[in-house]
Amino acid sequence: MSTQTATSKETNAQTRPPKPKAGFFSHFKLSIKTAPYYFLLPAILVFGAFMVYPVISSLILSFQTFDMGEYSFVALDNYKTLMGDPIFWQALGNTCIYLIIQVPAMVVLSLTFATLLDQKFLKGRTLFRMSLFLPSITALVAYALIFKLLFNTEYGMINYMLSMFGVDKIDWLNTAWGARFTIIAGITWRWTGYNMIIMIAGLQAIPLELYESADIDGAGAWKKFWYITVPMMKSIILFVSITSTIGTLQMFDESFILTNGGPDNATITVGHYLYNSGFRYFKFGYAAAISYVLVLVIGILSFLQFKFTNGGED
Amino acid sequence: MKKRILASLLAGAMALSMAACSGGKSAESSAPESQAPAGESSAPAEEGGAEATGALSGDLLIWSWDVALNFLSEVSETFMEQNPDLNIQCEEMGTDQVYNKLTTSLASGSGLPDLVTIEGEQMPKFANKFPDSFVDLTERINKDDWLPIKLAEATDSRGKIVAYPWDAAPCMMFYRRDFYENAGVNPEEIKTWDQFIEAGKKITAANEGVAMVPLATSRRDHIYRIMLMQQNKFYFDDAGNSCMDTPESIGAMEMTKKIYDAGITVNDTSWDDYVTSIKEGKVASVPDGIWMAGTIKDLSPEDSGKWGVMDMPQYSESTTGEASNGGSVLAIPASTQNVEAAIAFAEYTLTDLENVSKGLEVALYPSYVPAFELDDFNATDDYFGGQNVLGMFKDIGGRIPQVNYTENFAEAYETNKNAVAKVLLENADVTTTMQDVQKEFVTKFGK
Repeated sequence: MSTQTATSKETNAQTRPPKPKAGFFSHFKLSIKTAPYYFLLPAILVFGAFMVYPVISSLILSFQTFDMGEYSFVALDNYKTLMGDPIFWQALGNTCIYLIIQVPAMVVLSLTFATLLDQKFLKGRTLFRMSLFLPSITALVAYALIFKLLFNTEYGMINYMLSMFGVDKIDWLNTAWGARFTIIAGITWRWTGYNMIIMIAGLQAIPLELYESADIDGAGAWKKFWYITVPMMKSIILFVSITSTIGTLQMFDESFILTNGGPDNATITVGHYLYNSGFRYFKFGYAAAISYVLVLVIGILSFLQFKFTNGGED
Repeated sequence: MKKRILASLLAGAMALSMAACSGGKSAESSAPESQAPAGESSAPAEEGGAEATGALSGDLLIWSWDVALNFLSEVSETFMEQNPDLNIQCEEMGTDQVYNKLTTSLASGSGLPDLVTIEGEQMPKFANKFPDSFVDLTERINKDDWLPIKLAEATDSRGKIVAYPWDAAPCMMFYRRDFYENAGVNPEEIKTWDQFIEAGKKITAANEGVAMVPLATSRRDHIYRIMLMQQNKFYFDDAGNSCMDTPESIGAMEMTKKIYDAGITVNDTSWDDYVTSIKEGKVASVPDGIWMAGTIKDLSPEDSGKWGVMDMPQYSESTTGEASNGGSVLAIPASTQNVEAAIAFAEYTLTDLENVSKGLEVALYPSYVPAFELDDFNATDDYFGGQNVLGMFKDIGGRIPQVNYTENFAEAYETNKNAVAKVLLENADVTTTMQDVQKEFVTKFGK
């Protein structure tokens, strides 16, 4: 400590004399004051180039159209077209369906698994945790392709297994609700384990004394779960819900690979429609406008979730 | 009509310009030679190529996929032998990968290859959205030498030819002889889709578990599009205006529904599904581009002799058009440092008769008309019961209308694919659906 203050005094002493001359560049000279910025510089540059710049330039892009190789400024035209675009609304509606069904189901499921796998009496907990977590490290494309095979009408394993119980072939990928179910099953399978790990981390942060005193008071397992675990996990549950909501809103691969958005746009997501508009139809400005509407929706939803749960505080 | 006048004017202009730059390379010089009797033609063509070669140098980078890529790299070997100073590099990528990389490269203007294969239907999109990004070949290409439909794919909205037409994909009907015989159906008597449906009822009745034809209910719209092209119509007219609510379009969709309602179809939700049903003998007929011949052979070599090819049933007694599905073009991005070598290589690949013949072996069916004189086009195919499949290809190829794909094809296709799903799966009214599609097109494309 003492040496540090000494050096800082030294550098101060060194930098002070030239100050009156006060060249513009003297502000950038390496000193104890500027050093943190120099250390941060690489991160700031990367952040600026790959986050700030694209964010700003795509905002500008959303007010332009691309035609005959040229961008022209069209003010709010893209947004106006978007508001009247049935496919966009359908995509948003599909995303809402996924949100309403999938996010709560997954949160409940992952909390249940987390609680079960956090029980001390359970043998081979690590193995179970691992096997539940494994799906989330598989590549999106790979798992979507496997689900496509599993849910194939003629040759899929799901239909084969159902047929053993006398259930007729279900046209999973070719009916609106069948396809939606397949996608919901897919994301739940892939993300439950991931959220479960976060939940377990949260569970382990709950002081054991609470459970001990509940035991003394004679509370059963369900009461302990409902009156101790859930309230203590509130902030974690909020975090998981928000990240899952954002993840669902940005969903792309499942719709792209499993169903290609079909049948008749029944499963297309906003992310998928954005990709189609930008990279398949070359309507870059329109795609940028979609992304900004998506930002707005995510912002509003996150804000609401935050409000309703008081930011995870009691 | 307007287009035809323009075309002949352009052709005239080109003939003049070609006369002006006599002694041009391969394509022009080999064109007259290819009129020579078939069989002998490959030798002079090679000489024609040799004249042009030897002097080229530099590097060429090619992006392509699958069979086309293998073929390009094979041809590039011999081309590099003839031009020792030239270095050609072929980069293998998937179709989507090529498009993604091409899109970003075109948008940023850097990192482009010297030659790239693009599906014919997609070419107008790249050409119109990024004008002047591809070498203008209008002056170099003799329009009479190429199949009209392929030229249409390679032409941008300003009438410039911006790519070399490559493999053509006229649609024909592949059918299982055994299934047809079981039902006592003579394929030659099927002239229209209505007759096809009737035959389908007999065939599905006589063959357990066999559908007459695969018809994707939500994955694609190709039977609709075949019928549309048979009436010499398309999604768009020559000026690029949407025409989805025309009687032709509504009629084609109604006929699609009729086929579906007859209960003679099998659905597929992916390419794999589609080919599996073919391999497992679950379909009696497959209407698709000629490249399907190669796919069927690869799928089930053991079914040799069981398959046959027939003309596509017509939309009605009075229609004569034909359809195409697939096939690609070879474009040269304008950023290339080596235009001369790129052009020479493209022409060597696509117009040198020996190479065309080699391409035929791997199911790359040329759109270069002079090559149709090759002996290969008279050959019979044992797999298809000794039929002259290539002879049919030649005949059908010339009858495909020059449709206007426009830069909006991808989005239009996606929308119409969903219209098929609405009509077939949700039983929506055909006329209303097509009127809605028209409205959506007009809103999105502005015409």
